[in-house]
Amino acid sequence: MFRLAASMRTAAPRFSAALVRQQTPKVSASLRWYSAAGALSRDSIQERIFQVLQDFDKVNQEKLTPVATFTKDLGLDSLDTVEVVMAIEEEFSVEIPDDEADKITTVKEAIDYISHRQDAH
Amino acid sequence: MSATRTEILKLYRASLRAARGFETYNFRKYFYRRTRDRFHDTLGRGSSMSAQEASQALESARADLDVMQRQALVNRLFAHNRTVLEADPQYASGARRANL
Repeated sequence: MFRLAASMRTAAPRFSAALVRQQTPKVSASLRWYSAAGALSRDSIQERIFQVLQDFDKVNQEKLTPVATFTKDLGLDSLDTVEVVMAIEEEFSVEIPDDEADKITTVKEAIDYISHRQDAH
Repeated sequence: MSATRTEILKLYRASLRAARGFETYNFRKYFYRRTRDRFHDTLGRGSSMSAQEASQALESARADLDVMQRQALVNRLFAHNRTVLEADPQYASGARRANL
């Protein structure tokens, strides 16, 4: 009898402590989304791609616009286009697979591609 | 012509990647330049080349790609000190960081 009462006395606070702990879960201000997208804005991507193209001495600099095509406007051949895409890869630290790289033929397509890559930085 | 255009571009891209894989600055730059010059030269002579010459050029480019891939791997395994040029982050590993 006494033993039962004693065990109830010790059990009770433990129970209520567990309840209290459950009622105040620690979810609040310190919550962070580490998977959130990077902060590469379209403007900064365009600026950096322009910089890459300006360093490329075969590029016709006067026609360098966001809508320019590599071959027609900038005067590059197919090999130069490969080099430009490789230089863009290096600038943004990404690896562009062959079939994707073949589709990049204009400055705009390059900007679009990089802005869709989450791992570009 | 024994190879299609996409095949050649694929080979070119693979060769440039292999050249970029060298750890040592001088090798990396040399093989990049060499690959680029060679493909551009061959492309420039393209119309005057016979089919046999073209396939020979392609074969030797493929053989060189194998050599570059092997040697780049060995070069990475035995990486040595970086050059003074590379120690400056502005010029590090070919990536431009000058105007950022």
